[in-house]
Amino acid sequence: MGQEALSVSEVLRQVKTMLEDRFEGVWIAGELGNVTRPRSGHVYLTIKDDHAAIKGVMFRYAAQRLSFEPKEGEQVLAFGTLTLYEPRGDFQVRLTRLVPQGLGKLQQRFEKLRAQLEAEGLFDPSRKRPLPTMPRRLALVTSPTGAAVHDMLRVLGRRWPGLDVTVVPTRVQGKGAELEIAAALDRADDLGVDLILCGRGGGSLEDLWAFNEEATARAIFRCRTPVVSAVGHEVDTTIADLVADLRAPTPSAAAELAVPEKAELSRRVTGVGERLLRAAHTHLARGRQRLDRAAGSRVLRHPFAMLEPKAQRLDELAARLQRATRTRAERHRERLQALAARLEAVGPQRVLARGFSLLTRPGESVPVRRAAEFEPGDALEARLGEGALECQVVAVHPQGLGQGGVKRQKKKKARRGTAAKKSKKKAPDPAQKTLFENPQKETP
Amino acid sequence: MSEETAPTPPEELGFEAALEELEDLTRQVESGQLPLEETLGAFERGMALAARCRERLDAAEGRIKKLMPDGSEEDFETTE
Repeated sequence: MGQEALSVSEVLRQVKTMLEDRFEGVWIAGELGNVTRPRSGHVYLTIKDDHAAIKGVMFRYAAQRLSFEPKEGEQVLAFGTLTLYEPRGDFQVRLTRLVPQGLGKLQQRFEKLRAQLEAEGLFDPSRKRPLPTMPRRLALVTSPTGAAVHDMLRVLGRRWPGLDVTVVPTRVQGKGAELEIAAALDRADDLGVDLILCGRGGGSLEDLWAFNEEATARAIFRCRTPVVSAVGHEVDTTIADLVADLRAPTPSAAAELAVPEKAELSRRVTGVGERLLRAAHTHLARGRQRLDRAAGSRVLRHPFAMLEPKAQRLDELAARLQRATRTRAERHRERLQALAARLEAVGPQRVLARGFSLLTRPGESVPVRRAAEFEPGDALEARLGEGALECQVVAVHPQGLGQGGVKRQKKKKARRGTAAKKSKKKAPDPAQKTLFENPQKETP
Repeated sequence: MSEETAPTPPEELGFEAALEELEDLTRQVESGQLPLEETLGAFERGMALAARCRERLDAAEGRIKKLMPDGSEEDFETTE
């Protein structure tokens, strides 16, 4: 014997070092055999193929990051370092990563279909239709149970109460789900709604897979109604998302994108309406002022306060404004008319036409009213309805005809110191106003 | 021949068009450039447009329905 004998531990230690150096970080493909997961958190499993099997261990620090539950029979890809469990001399692989093989296959299928449909033009941006700004009727293609449909209905109800919504129910995962989704989309399209929201809540890639299938993609593409896709979470992009007219990151977001907020639009209408009311009011008030000045009456004071910021009263206020505008103008007209009528009624011409005469001193226009002012022999002018007379007083009856104290024309006798007879003129009563300088003819 | 076309009756206008015209008229009236007659006219038209907008917003109550396999519609149960 040329070599020194090694201890068991020493042998194993050397082998372990050799293994770890040579096989540090390898990928192994195989099928899972027995899997145990004790409370320690470590995972003990076997990976095998048709001819051989190898033990594997995944310690807790790596195991807790597993995104799936390893099960016997599952095809996996495992990554780790080959090593030796010295106490028993067990050959094993120390794993840091474990991935279902299926996932890789799904990814491949996704990429393949994506490229194919893109080449056919299903994702073409120019083909995407704009969404209606105020849709009246919506269809939701989704599962009738689950959070997605309720989230969408809640958001829709908040933004636009009174919306017309039809839920077209379908399975959204599982074998053959894509065919159901496609059929549901066709039915939704036939409803003639303004917009279709199509999607589901979050899940794994396998859960969402129906929205990566060709049947779903083509059904979205042939919809005449615009389609918003609403699949899973923010990070998930499916083929359905790429074909749709708009991709929403989540079902709730889809509902937000679908309809505007009614309350906001309402505020906008009210806002503009009030501005118009105020502006019209201001300028109409100025116009009335000009009218008032022209008519010679006093300028109107305050335009009535009418600004009440309630949308429901918009029409009412409008009517009031209209009525008010007409009323004031009408009132002006009426006043002017009344004044003119009164003037006319008291105008001398009317009186004269009725048979009265207007007596004045010669050359004056102030009518005389007291007989006592006169002496017999005084001259008077009499205006009649037609024509005029030059008159001379014969007798004066201060108290009226048939009453006492009549003054008669005295015999003419010369008075010492007087030259000509002066007619006693009293100064006209300043309080008495001249109505007319010239008698006016009545207008026909 | 360039004639002024009569304005579209408000009932025929969509919400957006009606609101846009309403905003336009309001700006005109606010500018104070319009003579009195036209101010009244603009005001009347504006109020009609506002009413039309209101109408479009307050449209009839819709239902939430579920489409059944036979094509009929049922009320959708919103049980969470």
